[in-house]
Amino acid sequence: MKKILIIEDNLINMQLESDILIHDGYKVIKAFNAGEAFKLLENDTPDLILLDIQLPGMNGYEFFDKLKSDEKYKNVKVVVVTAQATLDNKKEIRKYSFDDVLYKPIMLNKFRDTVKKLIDT
Amino acid sequence: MNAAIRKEEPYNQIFFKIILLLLAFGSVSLYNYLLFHTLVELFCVILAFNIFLIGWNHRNIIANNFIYFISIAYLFIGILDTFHTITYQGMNIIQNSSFKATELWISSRYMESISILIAFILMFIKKNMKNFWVIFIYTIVTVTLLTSILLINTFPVCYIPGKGLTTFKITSEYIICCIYFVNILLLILFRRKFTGKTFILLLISFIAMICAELSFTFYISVYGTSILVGDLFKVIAVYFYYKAIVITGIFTPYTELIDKTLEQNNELKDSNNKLIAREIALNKTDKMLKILVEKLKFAKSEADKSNAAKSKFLANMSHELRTPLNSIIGFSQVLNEQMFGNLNEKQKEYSNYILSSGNHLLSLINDILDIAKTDSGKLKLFISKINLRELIDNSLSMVKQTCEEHSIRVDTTFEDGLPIINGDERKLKQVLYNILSNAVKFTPDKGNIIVECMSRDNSVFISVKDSGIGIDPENNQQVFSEFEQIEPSFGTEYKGTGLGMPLSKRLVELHGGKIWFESEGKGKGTTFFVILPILKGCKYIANCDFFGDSKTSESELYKTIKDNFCKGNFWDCARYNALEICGVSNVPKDLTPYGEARAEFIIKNYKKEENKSRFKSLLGDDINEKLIWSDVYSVGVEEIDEQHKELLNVADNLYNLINENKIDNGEVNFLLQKLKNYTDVHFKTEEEFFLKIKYPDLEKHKEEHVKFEKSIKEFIDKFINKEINEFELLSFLLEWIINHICYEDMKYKDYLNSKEGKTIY
Repeated sequence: MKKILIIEDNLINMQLESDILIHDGYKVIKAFNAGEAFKLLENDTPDLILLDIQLPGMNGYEFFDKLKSDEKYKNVKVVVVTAQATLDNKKEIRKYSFDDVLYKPIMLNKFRDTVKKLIDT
Repeated sequence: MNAAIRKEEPYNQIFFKIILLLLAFGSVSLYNYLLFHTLVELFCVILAFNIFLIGWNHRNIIANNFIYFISIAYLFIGILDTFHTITYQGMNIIQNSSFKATELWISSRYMESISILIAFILMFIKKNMKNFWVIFIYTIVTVTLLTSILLINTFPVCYIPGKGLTTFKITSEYIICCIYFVNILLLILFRRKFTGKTFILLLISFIAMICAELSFTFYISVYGTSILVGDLFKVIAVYFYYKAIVITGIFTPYTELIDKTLEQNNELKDSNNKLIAREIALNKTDKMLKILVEKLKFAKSEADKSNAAKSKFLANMSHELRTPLNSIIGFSQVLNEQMFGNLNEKQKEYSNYILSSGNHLLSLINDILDIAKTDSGKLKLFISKINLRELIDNSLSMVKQTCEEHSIRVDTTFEDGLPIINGDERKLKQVLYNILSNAVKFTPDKGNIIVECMSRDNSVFISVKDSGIGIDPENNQQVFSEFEQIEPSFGTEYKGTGLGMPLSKRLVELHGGKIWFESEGKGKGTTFFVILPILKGCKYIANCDFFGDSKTSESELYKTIKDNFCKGNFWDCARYNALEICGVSNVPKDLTPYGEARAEFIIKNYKKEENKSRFKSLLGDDINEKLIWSDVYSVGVEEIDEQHKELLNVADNLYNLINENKIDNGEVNFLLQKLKNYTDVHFKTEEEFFLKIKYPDLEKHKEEHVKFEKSIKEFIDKFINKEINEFELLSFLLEWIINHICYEDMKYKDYLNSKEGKTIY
């Protein structure tokens, strides 16, 4: 079973994403901030990470940089799921080599397709 | 010093002196009459000459014509009196001169009295005399008199020994008295022209003269008592006269001078004070200006801050609104999909409502944010080629379902040969959708909508006519104002945000187009019109990457070009053409008049590694279109390099002005003129230099110069006539400058390098 780590500080949105993914047959691990995520990553390497940008403490960009600096996680795919959708935000996001970006509010079909596509390849 | 000059001799002193004089002369007469007469006459002659000298030497400062004229007259009167003295009976200096003295006396007195009369007349007619003529005439008169008296004896006889005075002599004395009397009258008449003291002294002098003359009418012997009295009167007359002249001739002018000097001094002080005051005022103004500048700077920084704050607020707002919307839209979608169990019909219906309301809320948020962005000038267009037919069809498909539900018929008419336009497809679609959904919303069931599209001149027209409820022309403004949907009479069945049309207006205007509507009134339908210019070249400047790094392969380059070519940068014009040249896409040729050359240049230069670095540094590290001088462009001739820097500088200023949307302040025109002038000078310098180095491609280079001079004039004129916009102008200018500096002039740099070592410039 493919494992997906969701990093999201909003409880309800966390539940939305995890419920959909569990429904679609993935194993979901949840982290509410970057620190928790790294703790979880010590024991578990997911196939895909859904990453929010605006997080308490270390933000999504910093998390991503730290993650990718570790050889172990080079191949872990990261999809950003963020509500930061202004032009400036988009420019900033483009600077990082995320595997994909989804803007909130997420559209159900696009969300499921994106996850499926990345997990399958 | 001032006080010393101003101290005039008091009357009592003058009188005291004259009495002493008279006593002295009187006592001499007791001893020897001839000696007395000689001394009196000499005294008078000396004073006469003195009067002349005083007047003559002060002629430049004597304001009083009277005194001046008189002083000249006294030279000749003195001469006549001298002759009178030496011909006097008993002197025995001139043979047979026995009675000439009386004749000389009378002629001298005539001259004196008439001279004073003329002086008064001159004063009256206020005419400036010419020294030469006065002296000339007096000389003639004097010589004539002397000749007639002493040599040819034609002067009337005045004295016959034994018999006494002739009638001529006596009559003459009376006439002279009369003249003096007239003189006294004139003196009184012109009293104001003299100082008080001068007036008194002159008056006494004239009266004394009359007395003297009268006493001379009585004598029989030239040694008689009446002559003694007459002579003494004469002494009084001449002495007072002399005093008057001295006061008027010396004191008054100097006093006047001093007064004038003092006055000027005061004026100087005044103006000095004024200057100081002005300086203080200027300093104040300067300070105020400085304060104003500081205030403006502060205001600007505040404005910048508030702009930044606004942007931040918008970004936060967007984020904070999207987060809960994510749950609303997300969960309602999950419910709709029935992912976790079936819903009954009511539940389905409700979750549908939640989803559509959520979507509505999202579009509302997007609209508000867009409007806020157009307010702060942050909304940018992403220009691409647009097929109007596709655009309209796509927009129609979004309202198709609603139309079917309400049995509204939609007819479309497209003119043949519609051009491809440049524009932001997403935003134009938004505009059309807004218009169409409005039309559908306000058109009753079984109504119809007609969409037409055609092109005229350099614009395309799109019209959407509905058979709906119509709009009262009074509400024209409201339709396009934010939050002012025309509602009351239509009730709540036509719900909307009220932001659609205002935003559409802004978006159309951002494209340089126009939107308006016509309605024949309530219930008679409405037609919305949109005009869009067929943009030639790209209008909006945005940042984007293009060149990649040195590792970028050619295919990657083309991919970058393809991916970015619609970002709206002025370089995009070049990219467009680059695309065509690379065969990436079928881009029309007329995109921008100078695009082809520039594209060729970019590709050519991009391929050459060294030129790429040239080009990159010209654009700045972040490729932010900043025009920065780099020594890579140096042609090795300082003067030309300096001029290139200057050109870049002006172009950079222009770029900034236009980019900051400050085109209305006249500075653009000023900079253009400056650029034109610089260019003229620069070309001349270059051409002269080419002649000097015998540059073989001189003619070709000159041709380029001529071309540019012509085109810059053309472009500036077009810009002033508003035939082209500032971006087209700028795009042309930047292209030329870069072409000129990085390409054309590099040619002669190469030539210079090849000659290196042979000549030193």
